[in-house]
Amino acid sequence: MQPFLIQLLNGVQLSMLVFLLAVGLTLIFGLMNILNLAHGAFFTMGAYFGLVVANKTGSFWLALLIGPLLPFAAGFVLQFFVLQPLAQRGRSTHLDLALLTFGLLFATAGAVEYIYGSAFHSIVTPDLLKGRVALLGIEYPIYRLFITAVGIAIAIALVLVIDRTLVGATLRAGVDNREMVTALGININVLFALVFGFGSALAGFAGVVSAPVMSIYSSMGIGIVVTTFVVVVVGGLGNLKGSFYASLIVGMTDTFAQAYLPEAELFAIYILLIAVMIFRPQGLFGAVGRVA
Amino acid sequence: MTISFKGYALIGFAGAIGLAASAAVPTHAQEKGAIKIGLMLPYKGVYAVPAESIDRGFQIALEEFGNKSNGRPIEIIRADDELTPSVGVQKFNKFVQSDKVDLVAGVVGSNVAIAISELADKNKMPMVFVNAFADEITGKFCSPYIARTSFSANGFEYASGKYWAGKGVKTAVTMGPDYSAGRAFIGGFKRGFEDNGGKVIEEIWTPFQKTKDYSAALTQAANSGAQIIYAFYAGAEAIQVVKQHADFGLRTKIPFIGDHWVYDEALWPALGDLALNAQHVATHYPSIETEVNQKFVKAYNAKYKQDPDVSAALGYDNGKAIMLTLEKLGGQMPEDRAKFIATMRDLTFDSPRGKIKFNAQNSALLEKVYVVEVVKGPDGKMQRKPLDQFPGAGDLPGCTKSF
Repeated sequence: MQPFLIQLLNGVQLSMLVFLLAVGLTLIFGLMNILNLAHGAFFTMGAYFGLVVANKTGSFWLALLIGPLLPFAAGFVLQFFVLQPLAQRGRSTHLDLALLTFGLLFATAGAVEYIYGSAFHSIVTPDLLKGRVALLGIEYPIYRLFITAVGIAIAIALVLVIDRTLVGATLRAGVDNREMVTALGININVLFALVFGFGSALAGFAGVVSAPVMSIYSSMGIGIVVTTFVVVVVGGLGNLKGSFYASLIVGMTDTFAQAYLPEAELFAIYILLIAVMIFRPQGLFGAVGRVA
Repeated sequence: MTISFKGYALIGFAGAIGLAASAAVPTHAQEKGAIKIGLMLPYKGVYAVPAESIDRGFQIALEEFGNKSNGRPIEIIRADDELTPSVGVQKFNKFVQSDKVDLVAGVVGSNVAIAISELADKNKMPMVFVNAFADEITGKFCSPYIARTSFSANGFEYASGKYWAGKGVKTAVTMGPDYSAGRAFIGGFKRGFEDNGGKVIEEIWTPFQKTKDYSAALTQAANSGAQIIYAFYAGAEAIQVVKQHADFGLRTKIPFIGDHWVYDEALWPALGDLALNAQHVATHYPSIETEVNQKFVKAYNAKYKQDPDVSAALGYDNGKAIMLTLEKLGGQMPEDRAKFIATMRDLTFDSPRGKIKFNAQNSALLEKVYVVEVVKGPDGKMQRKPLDQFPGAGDLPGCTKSF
């Protein structure tokens, strides 16, 4: 029983990391209908910028705070100056945007490798979160509990913002009826660019959060794109709560497959993806018409 | 569509002209030109760091010969196989058809090597593998056109399994990436370990290039009750698994023993103190006190301002074996290219790792495997302290047509 509980804990922790990555993507998809494959690039950018800050200041917390600013700016610029004008010229089918952002993903990996080389880097765990706590008869790393807590906190904050605040209401309105919101005097282009930036910043945040556990390297963002897309599809496109539950499903599937059925791990989440596509193409939690 | 069709037509046309032109060149003029070596390595992705080291070691070897063989300059043409078999095949075909190389060197991933070995055989193109440790490459897939200058997984890991079993380790749990090389290395360890009285309680496989979180696998390993974890990982994966092993406080509970790829120098900056006091098996480390090694380390330091890691040493051996073979053949690629590999098979030379000899399957044998511990040296920098050494094991049988 005890190993099972530990694996459960591992699963929750992985799920929260996946959630941090996927939630930005689902926000962008739900609000703007943009298939953003460059999400992995923002993950990489955040991690590297965090690394630069951590190396300069020696502080993990500053890295966590400042690291996501670069992907935020990059995301804002991408949406406002590239994707938005494209959409206005009618060049914004899913294929157009997928190709554009796909190129961006690899270009970023290439640029990072050009600047920083192909070496592996890491951010040191902050002293406060070093060490382990006795839990269920074993020592569990505090930092992993921290990841879990951060994931849950962000999920709650997002739900509150979108459901209970004026900004959230404007966003929801913008998705449902864009013209009406514009008519009310709200600059929807800036709002969307801000959301795009925010979604990208979340990816960058995930990059810094995961750095003490995993390693930072140029192509780190490429591998995560598929997993995050599985989460977005399973959770229902643009469904925030859905992506939270879907992250839990994907994280748990991955962890338990690795622990008890390693042969199945590689394709377990893809089977899940295919099953969802066949039986509930709107996603497990996707109520039709409800976005964000 | 029309554009790309025209593009293809144009390429085809250009290719035809190139073919006609090369056919028209008399043979003696060709012999005077450069010897072209296609060097295929995974320059990007998880094995980018070892690939770069191999490339550097390879260059050091060529420079030792002045980048010439019998007066003919050596030209290296590089290609990135992206650690993906289909890409490797594509690049190999490019080497053969448009670059018209004399031989191909390099290749790290066994998955790529297996895909290429058949092509090399069919095209009668000498393929000198640098890594590609999976046993079947010089076993089931062997060919008179294929050689490997490093060692086979079994040669390295069988001996390692035997060593740890002899050191009083009774039980182990293995961890490795689920692909051909991971299977080959861990399989070799398991045979050597169990043939000598040890018992592998559990084998844990993680998806190659996909796994980032090893917590589930490590929890299973810690609960298995084994004395050690024996693992094969490299590059980014090695860093993650070693770090996470330490995060869970398992360093004192169940040591994570591996080889020089798990505790590669290139990973030390990212691993920090976690590499300290780790024991591992190695085929090369910079402070081996032989003249050949010290000369190599010095040349490498002069050019790249750092000590060579094991991949650099393997790249060096790859280049050196090729250059020595060309030297014996008078700087010519023989008409029958199998003769190139046959000549290489008869070579014996001193490398930084020890004496290199080939077996009948065209695979280099390991003279020595070292057991080392990572320690802080007097200058405060990390270095390796030799603990022990033992000879490498032979290859698995299975080759029917190496000559």
